Amino acid sequence: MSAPARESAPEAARGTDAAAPLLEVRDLRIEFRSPAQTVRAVRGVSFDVAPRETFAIVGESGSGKTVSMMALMRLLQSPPAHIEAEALRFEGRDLLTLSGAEWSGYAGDRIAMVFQDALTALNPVYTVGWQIGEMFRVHRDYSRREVRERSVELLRQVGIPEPERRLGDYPHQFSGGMRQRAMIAMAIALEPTLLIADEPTTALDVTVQAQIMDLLQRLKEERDMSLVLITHDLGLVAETADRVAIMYAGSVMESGTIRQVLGNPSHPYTLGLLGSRPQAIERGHKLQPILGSPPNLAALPGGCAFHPRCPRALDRCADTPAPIVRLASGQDVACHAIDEARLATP
Amino acid sequence: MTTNPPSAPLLEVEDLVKHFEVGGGLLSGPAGVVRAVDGVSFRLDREQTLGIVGESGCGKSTLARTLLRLETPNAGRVRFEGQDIFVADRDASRALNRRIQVVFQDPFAALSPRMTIFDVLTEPLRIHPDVLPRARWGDRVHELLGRVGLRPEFATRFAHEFSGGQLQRIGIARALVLEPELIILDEPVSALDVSIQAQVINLLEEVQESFGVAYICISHDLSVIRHIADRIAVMYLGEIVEFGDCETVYEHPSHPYTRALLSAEPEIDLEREHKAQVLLKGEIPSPLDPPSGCRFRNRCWKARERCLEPPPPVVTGPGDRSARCHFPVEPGEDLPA
Repeated sequence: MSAPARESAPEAARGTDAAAPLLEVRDLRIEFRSPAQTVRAVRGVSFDVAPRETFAIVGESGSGKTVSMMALMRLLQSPPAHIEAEALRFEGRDLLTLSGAEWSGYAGDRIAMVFQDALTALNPVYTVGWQIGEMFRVHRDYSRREVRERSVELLRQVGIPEPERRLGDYPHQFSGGMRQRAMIAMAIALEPTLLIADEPTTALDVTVQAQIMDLLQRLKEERDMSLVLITHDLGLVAETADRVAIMYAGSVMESGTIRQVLGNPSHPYTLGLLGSRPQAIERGHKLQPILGSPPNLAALPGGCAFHPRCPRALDRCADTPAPIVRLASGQDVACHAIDEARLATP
Repeated sequence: MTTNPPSAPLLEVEDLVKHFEVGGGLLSGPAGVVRAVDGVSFRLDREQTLGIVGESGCGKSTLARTLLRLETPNAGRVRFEGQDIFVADRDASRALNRRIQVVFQDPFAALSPRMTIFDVLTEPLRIHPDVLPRARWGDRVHELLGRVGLRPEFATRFAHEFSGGQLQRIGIARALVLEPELIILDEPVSALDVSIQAQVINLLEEVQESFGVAYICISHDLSVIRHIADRIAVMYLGEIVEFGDCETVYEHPSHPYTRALLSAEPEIDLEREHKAQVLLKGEIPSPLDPPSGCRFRNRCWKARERCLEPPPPVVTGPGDRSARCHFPVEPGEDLPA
């Protein structure tokens, strides 16, 4: 299953073939095992991220969107986490086969991550400048002056006023939006080719959210990065991403370009998500929520995990996992109930 | 039920002020004053919903806490059916507690883990024993659970056995037990997943229809407010900068801040190439030291010299529409590039 071609195919990216994806995730499976139960957090997820694109992963809590990226970044403790994948390739190299020492050349350097809650992600007892400088001290052989100069430059690039003075501030002296800017400065310090942003604006007010998304888009373009945006906000996805994967209970339900998935939503779950947004419904009319609630990942329903809540569920949905089918409109959908006339002709 | 003429509003807030003194040492006195709510006035009619929007630090939660009498205001008046809620005697005060209820943001934190749902729902009846004879408590719990879409047998369970959406339903049921006339909803859906949010919003609307309750709904989510509110108040640094009919304000915002807030809200519109968006400069200033004159001026693209000094006048429009601005946005006005 290859990624659908983007409308504007990027030019050859650094060191990779233009057609080759920057990140290739094939059949990723993550379980958390304890004597009492096994939580199946990610159940066979595959997707590609092309060079210089913004790829959004959308889902509710427990859908596996964050945990997939945590696994990629080796941030899950194992045990209890058990991670398996057919392939987890970045720039053509399988990340699963890298030794710890080899991985340290990737983490923070080639692949960086920005977390949702910048206050807990920053260390309260070190200055912001020290924490940004740590990127250079660990990964690069810069002099103290160089570290300082580059840190100031980074803060300036992420739009923090008076960077020379703010370098000496502690995280609590920064506002929420500034902390997120500082986190982004740290993440882009070593010029990664892939930036993973996990709900980067969820903790922020809307006007600040607009500023941070604007900053991320600008940096992505200036630095030829790819951006993986993890979010639950479909509006944000529509405004910023090139392609999107909709996740539910550890599986990708629908994936394709923004135009395909949001313009022609086809999985009942995607339709449900769109229909639950207050914006989708005329005032005075009832919202159309998805009934029921997300499943317990330690006791998933058989077949398609969405079937107990699905308005279109068929008999076979309860016992056979849904196949992934390519639609004529271009996206991939994991659903039994797709009308055959809508399938792509092979 | 009421002796007031039908035109009297349910709630009337007049120049409400709540300041907090912060910092300073034992002997040095306060280091500063947070002007959390600084001269707020509005009216709310029966069975209506007022939405209050604003960013963190704008004072919307302090306003809610003050209306719940969890804070004592520094100045101003709040009248509930004509009665000043801060000078009520003991009996009237108890009655007000019954008539104004609240639903909190975080349903996990709002319900005691040691109480069964039956205990949670009957606690208000224990505090107000004259409302309902004990023999009928079971029926009331039964009925309320049904009304909020839960099964009656849930009454014997504990909070940890429920999901966030179910807990918020229980929180709503608890607010309804004493048949209040006003419920203050403090970010009622923001802790919930997207697919569950819509269920709870629908429930709130059903409850309003069948119980005839008025809501004050505080939220940072503009789309939620647009859906459920009749009136909207936009707050910025302790002041209401714009007020009016919800749909009119959304369609024709007149304060630049409202305009910016609305344009920052992400939307799904695949046909539009580039959205007209106002990217505000900086962030909301500290309420310890709000800018002189117009409090929004240092982030406003329309600010001119006049905004520095005199606080902007309240410009009133048709109905109860008002905006606090020297240079309100005209309909059809272009946004800054």
